[in-house]
Amino acid sequence: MESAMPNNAQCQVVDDRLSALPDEILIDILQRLQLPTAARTTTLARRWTHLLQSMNHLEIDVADFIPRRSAPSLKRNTMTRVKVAMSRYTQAMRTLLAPRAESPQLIIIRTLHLCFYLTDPYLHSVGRMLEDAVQSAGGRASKIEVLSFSILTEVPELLCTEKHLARYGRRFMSFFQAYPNAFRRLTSLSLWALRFGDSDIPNLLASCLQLQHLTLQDCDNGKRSVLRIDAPNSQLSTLTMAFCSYIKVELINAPKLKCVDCDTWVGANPPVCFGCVPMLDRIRFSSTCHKMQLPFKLSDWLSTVPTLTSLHLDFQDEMVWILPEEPKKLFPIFRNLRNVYLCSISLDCGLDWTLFVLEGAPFLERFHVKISLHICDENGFKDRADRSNVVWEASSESIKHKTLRLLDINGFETTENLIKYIRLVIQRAVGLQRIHLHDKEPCEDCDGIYLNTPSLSRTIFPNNEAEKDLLRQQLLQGFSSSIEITIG
Amino acid sequence: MAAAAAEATTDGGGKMIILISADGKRFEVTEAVASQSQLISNMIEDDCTENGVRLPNVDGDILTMVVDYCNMHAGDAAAAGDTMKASSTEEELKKFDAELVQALENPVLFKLILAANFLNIKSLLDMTCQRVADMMSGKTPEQMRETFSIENDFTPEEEAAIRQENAWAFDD
Repeated sequence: MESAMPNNAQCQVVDDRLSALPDEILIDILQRLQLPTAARTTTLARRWTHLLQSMNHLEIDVADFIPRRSAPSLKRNTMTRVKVAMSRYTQAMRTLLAPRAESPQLIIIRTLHLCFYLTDPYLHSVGRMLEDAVQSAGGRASKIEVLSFSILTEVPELLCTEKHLARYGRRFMSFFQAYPNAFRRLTSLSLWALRFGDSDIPNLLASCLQLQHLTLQDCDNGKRSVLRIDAPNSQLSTLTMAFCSYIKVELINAPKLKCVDCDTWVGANPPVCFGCVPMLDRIRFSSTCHKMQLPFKLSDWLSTVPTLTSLHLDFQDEMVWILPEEPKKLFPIFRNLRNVYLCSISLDCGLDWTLFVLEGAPFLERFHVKISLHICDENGFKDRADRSNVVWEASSESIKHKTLRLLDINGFETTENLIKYIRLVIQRAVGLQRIHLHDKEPCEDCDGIYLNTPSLSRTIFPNNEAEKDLLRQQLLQGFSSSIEITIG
Repeated sequence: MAAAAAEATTDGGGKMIILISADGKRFEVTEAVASQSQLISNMIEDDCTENGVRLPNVDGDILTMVVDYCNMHAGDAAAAGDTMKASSTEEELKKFDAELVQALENPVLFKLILAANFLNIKSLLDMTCQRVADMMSGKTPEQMRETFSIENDFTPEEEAAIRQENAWAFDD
């Protein structure tokens, strides 16, 4: 063992304490680095050469292989850059998936996250290497536990035309069909900008028996298409959809599904039909709505999912697309609910209506409200629905809420209405322990408008202890003061 | 004395135990604090902490840091189920961790890694390994050798050959 050095100066002369660490720690450190950096350590010294191929957890991300823009020959051509990146990518995979020649025992890969382009011919090299790696009994990936694909298109999804979507959709499906063993081990799949055929997603779910996480972004099955998920044998536990142009999503049967996250939908409300989803626990829906997308009732929408513990709705500063309801309608669907997030609520709608959640969810513990205070979006999209639409009448004041412990308000400003609102919550939630008030998140566009229009008054958020104490007094006046109020 | 102290209890933390560093320094901590070390937690379960826990691999100055860290984080596990209470101290913890990790330099950083590894304190090991990773991040092999005093024991030919094998990692 190295004895204690008398002082620092001496240590710096010779000590290579990094290389003296045991293999497992050095491997842990390498697994925290971007892959090319980790790979460069092979040339540090002999001590380091074997460590790269001993990593159990690998993340091979094509973003780490894209040539710098400064390389003169590659300046303009995106396709060339993608090809260079994918060429390096396949080389890296070859090195990392190969068993180490001099190793006495096989070091297996437990988790493998791959993010690559849907680009021929590299795509097929990726597929073949994986197919071999998971199939051969002595392969490093033969006992893989987590295998995830994020598959990017060469043309970014925002620039994709219908032709692109269709071409990429076909290319992906032929990739899927060519490497059934790799897909059979797949646990997570994220796809961008693909147009599927009607039977493609059912086939995918029927074949990828380990698949737990599916993310679809900018995907569809054609114009005005419907996504149906009827997968009684699947392990699917999280489904994420963003900017998909399905006019309807039907979750007919997904027995293991726990979490659904949907960002922006274009079809009629409500956005997703829940069928047999007995494990569904968390949902997050976020969208603006068009005039034609009418507000809907949660009691109808969620009638088959009484299992929810967390509900997250984001109105993106626009119309509130749900309808407040009376408590007895909500009890059956809200009886397991513990956490509710109501986000990006325009103050045009007021906030009092949000109390319907408290009234309807008797076991709620955490209630998060995020207020939108933007002045920069006055020219929102043309056919947007009217914001100030929420009609709600409080039921009897005597309803007391016993389990609510936290009220969290983001975008707070010291106004009479908000103080009144918080006092309403305090009055009802007799078990409330904590209130957390956050200032609004910074917005450059808003700041610009404030700068150019001195007559506008900025939102007021208490920023010194005296103001905070005053606010605390205003909020708690007349109540028991055991509630902790965090401001900022 | 150690035995007497080992019997002692405090208000909230339960029984006290004594940790003894390689150079004989003694630290009295609650079981809750010490249990963040999986090694010690196992020893507590097996009832073999009565006469103090000797840690022949860990110097006193390093053990001081470990004990500080564990004292600071002792609330963590207990509060994990209760996010209501934890949150105000969460910021303090973050600040404490950030300051601790920023101050870490060779050779203390590596001694602390070894101690965290030996004592099996996952969060401390994660944090210190991440610190090393951050110090390596984006560096060329030459810069890494310089930062960590790593001696290049390759011949130029050997080094070139390895570089060639992993050419994908060296292109710009």
